[in-house]
Amino acid sequence: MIDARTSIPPSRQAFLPRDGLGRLFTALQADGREVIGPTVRDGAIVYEPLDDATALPYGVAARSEPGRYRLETGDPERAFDYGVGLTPWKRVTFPPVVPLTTTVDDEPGLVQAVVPHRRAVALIGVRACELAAIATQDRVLRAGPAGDVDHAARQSGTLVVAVECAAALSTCFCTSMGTGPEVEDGADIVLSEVDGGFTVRARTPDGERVVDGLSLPAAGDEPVAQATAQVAAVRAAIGDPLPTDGLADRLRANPDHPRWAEVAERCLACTNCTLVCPTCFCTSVTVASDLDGVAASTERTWDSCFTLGFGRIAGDANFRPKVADRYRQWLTHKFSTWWDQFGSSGCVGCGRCITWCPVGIDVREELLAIAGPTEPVGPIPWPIAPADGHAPAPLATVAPARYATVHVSAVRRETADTITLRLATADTGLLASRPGQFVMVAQAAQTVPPISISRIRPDGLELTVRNVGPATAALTSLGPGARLSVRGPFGRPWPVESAQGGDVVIVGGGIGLAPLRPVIDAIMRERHRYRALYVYLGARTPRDRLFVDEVQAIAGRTDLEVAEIVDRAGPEWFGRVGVVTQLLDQATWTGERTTAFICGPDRMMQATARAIAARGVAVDRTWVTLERNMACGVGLCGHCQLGPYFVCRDGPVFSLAELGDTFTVEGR
Amino acid sequence: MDTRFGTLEELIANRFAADLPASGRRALARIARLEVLAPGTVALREGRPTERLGVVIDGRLSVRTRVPGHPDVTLLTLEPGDVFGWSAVLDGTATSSVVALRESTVMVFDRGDLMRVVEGNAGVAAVVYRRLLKTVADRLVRTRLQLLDVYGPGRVAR
Repeated sequence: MIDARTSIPPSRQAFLPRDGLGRLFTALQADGREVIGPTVRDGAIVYEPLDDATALPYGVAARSEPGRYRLETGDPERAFDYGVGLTPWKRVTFPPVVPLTTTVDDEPGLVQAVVPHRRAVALIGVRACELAAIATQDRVLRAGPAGDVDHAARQSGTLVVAVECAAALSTCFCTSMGTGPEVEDGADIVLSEVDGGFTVRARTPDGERVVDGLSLPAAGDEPVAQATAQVAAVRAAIGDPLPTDGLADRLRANPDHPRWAEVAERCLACTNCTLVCPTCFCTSVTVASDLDGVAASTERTWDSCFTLGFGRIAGDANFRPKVADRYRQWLTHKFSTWWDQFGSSGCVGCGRCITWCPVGIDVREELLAIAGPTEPVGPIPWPIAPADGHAPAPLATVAPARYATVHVSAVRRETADTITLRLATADTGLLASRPGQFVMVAQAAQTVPPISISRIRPDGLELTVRNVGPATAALTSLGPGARLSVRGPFGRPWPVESAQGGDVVIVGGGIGLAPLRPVIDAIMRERHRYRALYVYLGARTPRDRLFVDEVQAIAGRTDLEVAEIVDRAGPEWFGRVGVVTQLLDQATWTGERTTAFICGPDRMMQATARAIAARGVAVDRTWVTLERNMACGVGLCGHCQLGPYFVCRDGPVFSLAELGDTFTVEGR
Repeated sequence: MDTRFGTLEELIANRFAADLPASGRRALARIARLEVLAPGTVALREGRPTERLGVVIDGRLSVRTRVPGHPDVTLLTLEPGDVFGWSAVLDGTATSSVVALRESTVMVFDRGDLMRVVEGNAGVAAVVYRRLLKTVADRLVRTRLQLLDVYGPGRVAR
């Protein structure tokens, strides 16, 4: 660990007298920046826009315990002796509400992305753990395939003045997480509050420009020594309350630990912990419109994986219905799968989640109980990284935040509740779609559902949509000539080419045939590159079968085998009745050289995967496409997380080898 | 006898109970016979005594149940290798009807003959009951999946 103080000689550290703090404010404001810093409001330290240095919390100290926070009288000469404030800095860099889209004034029904505005701000009083949090959230929000444009704009306009901690709260554990209390990287200017003023270190050209403008004297040895001693005392006071060696592995190896149920009994699922967490980034989209639905807008709002609806999808399915599921998701993500996704822990040890938990749940205590050094490390239930040979999808050729306008050129009714829209577009990004990818389809005054591409045409796409809610109801009522706003394509495609030279098995259940249709198209276009092709299709009733004419057409060919089955039928149906796995029971092929592509309801895919495995198809050649709440399409909103993956970004197509038991265990 | 499908002993091995020893296959073959069912033939009738156990050799049969006031509902279809009439070894009352959907060939064992063989030969009984248990267990699992498909949320337009 690099000690910043030793990297900058004392002679290069300046000294800012206490009464000179106002000059720093003035200099920052003269630089065109709004200054945001700590102040007292409603009995707590919060970070808010400040007019001048007098608003800082002079003479205020804080006491923090699990479920308890109190301000106390401190040294009247000192402004930064409160530990960390209630509000995380993400309120500035990743605000609770951000406009996303508006309708296009002269184009009814179409939407456009809001262009973010760069805002110049200076954050003053940022702690070491908070710098780490800003950096952590920055890694999340800049991760591919598309970063958060609003966050990027805000970050680019932010200057950070850090203040090293001179006091520790009982809830602090930055030392365990390796994020503090010494300030390392991430600040433009670093202050240490000492007797009579502050030592000042400029760490970036922007910081140097501000500090040089203050014409400060050199700090001298004594203030620097005091600053060093103060932060060393803070480190000693905190100790190492949460040993983290092996913690990530132990945590993921204990998904069934009884403590999850115990903590769920205490947890209120109130979301306080995620709202005060400086790295939590889960969001949802809210829609507002005028009464006739013509003028509408959407906003991105903070959300939490603790809410009941966070894992819910249309049709009222919910992938994390229990509090225990949601608590495990949050804690396991923070301390384990965050490493898989972003190369660091998702926790910086600020302790806010402990302080502001109304029932005083202490994550340090829970982690030690579930995954402490004495807890066993069993088999790791999912692999660290996606299997080799199936890289993430290529980036979309359009900015994923941008909507392309497409025209509905034809509508075909498939079943009573399902239609196929043929969309015409010249958008090169959409035309570059690949089998298994999806698009986000926006309509004024509706949520934006992800829809699988059911056919890729030279002049556009086909989307097969089942009416399961308001947004899809609106889509299924469209007629030829309608226009839509579409962004994408998103997600990792089916690895169709990897099946060349071998046999292919395609198993579709219900509307699960829609994302498999481009696979069949791709294979039929280059039929000679594949050996045997078996297509097994299930539907609820004969009337619920999709693409009936097309299926009958390929069933008549001699170079592939098609079998259908329905769950329920009357005496007029002479085909098979039962579940799709029965078709596999009747099969005579073996799977040594076989690749399987499966799509349908989760339970159908699980049963099919077992039947496929019984025929000898390898788990790394058995592919499924998962259904989760995919709200943003690019791994930024958190809704579709499954173990170490975001389904929208890392999937939706996965091999069984990649999924491990996350595919079959409830609540993941 | 129709020889397209092999001997009864071979059919017992290939379609019904591969793990039966040769003596057991011979014992069952002595009481088995093949029947050809025309489309619409009722092989078992719901609520009536189940007088025989059947194994589908060729064709397709439907397992149907009555719904008063409505047409029969097909619960599942039977393909080659599937067993029907498992209740023959229990109380002997058919829980559903079995109807040929197309011309089908079935191997059948009369209940009385079958019970005589299994009750007189513990080895055969173990294999036959295991086979019937698997038939019932498979149907239970499939029925669960069917219930989920029919009444569950299904997959939505993703």
